[in-house]
Amino acid sequence: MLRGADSFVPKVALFHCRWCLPESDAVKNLLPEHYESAVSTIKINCTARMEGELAIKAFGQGFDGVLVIGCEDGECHYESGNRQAFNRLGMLRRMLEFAGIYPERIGTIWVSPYDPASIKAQIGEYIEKLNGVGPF
Amino acid sequence: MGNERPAETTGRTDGFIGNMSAARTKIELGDFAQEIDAASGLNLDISSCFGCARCSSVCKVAIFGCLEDRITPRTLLYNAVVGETEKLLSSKFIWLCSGCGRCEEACPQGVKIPMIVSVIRRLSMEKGILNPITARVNERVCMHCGACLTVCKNKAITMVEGGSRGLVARVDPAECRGCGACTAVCTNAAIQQSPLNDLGLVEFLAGKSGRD
Repeated sequence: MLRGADSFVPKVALFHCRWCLPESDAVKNLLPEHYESAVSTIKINCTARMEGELAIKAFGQGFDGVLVIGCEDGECHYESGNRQAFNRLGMLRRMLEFAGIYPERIGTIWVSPYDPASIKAQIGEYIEKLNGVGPF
Repeated sequence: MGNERPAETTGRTDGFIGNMSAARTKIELGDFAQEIDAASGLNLDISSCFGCARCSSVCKVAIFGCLEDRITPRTLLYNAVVGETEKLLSSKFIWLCSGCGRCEEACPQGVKIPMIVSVIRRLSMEKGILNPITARVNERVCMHCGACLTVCKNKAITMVEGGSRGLVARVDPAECRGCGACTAVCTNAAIQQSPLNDLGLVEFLAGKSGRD
């Protein structure tokens, strides 16, 4: 392992839907400590914009994980954009597994904007998991 | 609510409030509201709004849109009635509204707000204001596979004759809400959405963050 296990801080590309987390700055407050600089937040209009290609590009840019945060089922501003993303990212996970890449690197969190504590907990869980997976 | 109204429009608001007791009594519409009615060809009941703001309380754009001009369904109707044309046509609200119809459900007067927003969007297009979040098709690489047609919930995409290339997809900017689903399914990268196209994303991941 090139980087020591203790000092490993995973770089995460965080794509969030503008209807459940409107402010990129507010997302920074939901991250665990010391992760503010390791996470790049990208606001998209809807998780329907999320495609496999974007995740692969992020991995190509040196990110260890891709986290997608979208609205709960039935709460999508665009009717069913989150369902499209759910299906597409599930497929991407299976493809990554087939290619020998840990599918856990793609994280999806479906949240309610009124419950930031739960969002924070789930982001923490994801990063914990990514810590276990290790560097790309 | 009355305190927030600008001083120069109080002449109109007196008449507006005076009609509150007689529900659904028509007041004299401003030029812009008449224009909206005429453009839609329907009776949209703009004047029967009495400003209860139930529409604003259920609207996702009003709550999470982070709009600088603070346009909500209620202020949209108000501005339409008093004729603040410029404010409405340049607002980002009309482009972010997805036409979900919650405001219409919540409205005790049955004002057809999604329809009104749609008409204002058309008028805005006619005045030459572009949709800032629309998807754009590169007709030279579109392979008319039709994948985008199946994911577009607003039916903004149609297949049209594109000269020597045969059929190509075309996005109607007045109906596109910028969700980006068509961009994601396009296998040929022929459709790109302006805030987050493929090039923009690479820039982003290289270090910029917090972009709108």
